[in-house]
Amino acid sequence: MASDASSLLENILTGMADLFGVDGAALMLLDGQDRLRAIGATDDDGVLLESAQESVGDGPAIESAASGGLVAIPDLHAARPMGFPHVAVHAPPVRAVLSVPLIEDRELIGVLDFYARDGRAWDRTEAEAGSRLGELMVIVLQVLAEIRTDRAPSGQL
Amino acid sequence: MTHIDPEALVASLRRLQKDRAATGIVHHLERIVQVVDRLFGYSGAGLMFAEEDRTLRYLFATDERGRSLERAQAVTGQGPCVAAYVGDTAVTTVDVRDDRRWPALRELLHPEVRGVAGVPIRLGGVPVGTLNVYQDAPHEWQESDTQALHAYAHVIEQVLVASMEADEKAELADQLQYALDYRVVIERAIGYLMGKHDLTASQAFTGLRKQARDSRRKVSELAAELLGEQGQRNVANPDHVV
Repeated sequence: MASDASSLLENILTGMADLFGVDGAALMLLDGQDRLRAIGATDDDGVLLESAQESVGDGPAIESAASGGLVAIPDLHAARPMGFPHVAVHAPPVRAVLSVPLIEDRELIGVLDFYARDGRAWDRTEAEAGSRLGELMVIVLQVLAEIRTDRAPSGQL
Repeated sequence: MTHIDPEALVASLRRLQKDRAATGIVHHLERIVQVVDRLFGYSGAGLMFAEEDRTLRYLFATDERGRSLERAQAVTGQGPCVAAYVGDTAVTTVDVRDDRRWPALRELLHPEVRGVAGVPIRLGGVPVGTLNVYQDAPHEWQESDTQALHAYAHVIEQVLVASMEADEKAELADQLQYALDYRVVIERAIGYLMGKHDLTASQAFTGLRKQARDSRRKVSELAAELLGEQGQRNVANPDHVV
């Protein structure tokens, strides 16, 4: 069994990616200063995607956070406004991205990214599924927040 | 080695903790199950958990029809979800009303409960309950359906693991037991509302759930309060409530 919050979250991200039928899922959350920070992903490509968006200050997740809506990118490498080539250059294997805003009590708390290594057009059904999985992630984060204690500052539960 | 930054995670979780009262694992599980039917487009979903004697009892369902499915299985000790729990495997039925494996269910089921699938929820590799979904018409389940349900059950398992590993095993068990026990109170409250306001069971259940949500309280608490208004004698005896 997973022994810490990090492993648990990675397991859940992996489960969500499997449910969605995509190559991976990645998470960015607002910190105490309302900055969107890369939390992690199911694999190295997802970590690259989130880190790139955090350092560049742009990308589908950033746009999703700003608008509060879903952002569907068929190919990250496409020229603006269809893609984010300046982000893609830092995460070359990632092509398609669906960014889902995470809303708790009408407030943004982060963004959940689903991604694929092949370009794809996200259809309406997929967008709906992404939204539902975003709801699920909010609940998971609430659980983790409730059980997290200050006894374990390194992320251990 | 995970792909998660633990320091960033803790910083964000600390932000989420602010000004929020803990609502408990059962409340979260209920919300997770409410997402499942909307995610997959099923007619409804529910969750059953086992008692210490391995008797499967229903914890909650997304609607009255789903409640009839879980209640019928709890009463008869048979059905697709019971089989999923006992066999530790996914069990499906195209039409539970005409399934010869569980003849006793038909009379107890809501007529709109037809296609049913159940998958085990495991802790430490051992089944502790089931995630159940149903369709309101006969349904041919595909392997992709059960795979997706297994994946969703896995998410539920992770949430349970998170709670348990927070050194809250006893509290988790207490909360689940509390929820199981309070199903009876909810049943009584629904009966009370049906009689008082001339409602169907579905209307009463939906109204109770909505009021609980709107007031950010547990359905069980609201049900107990409702019955408390009638006096302790009635709470102890459901025959006096309806």
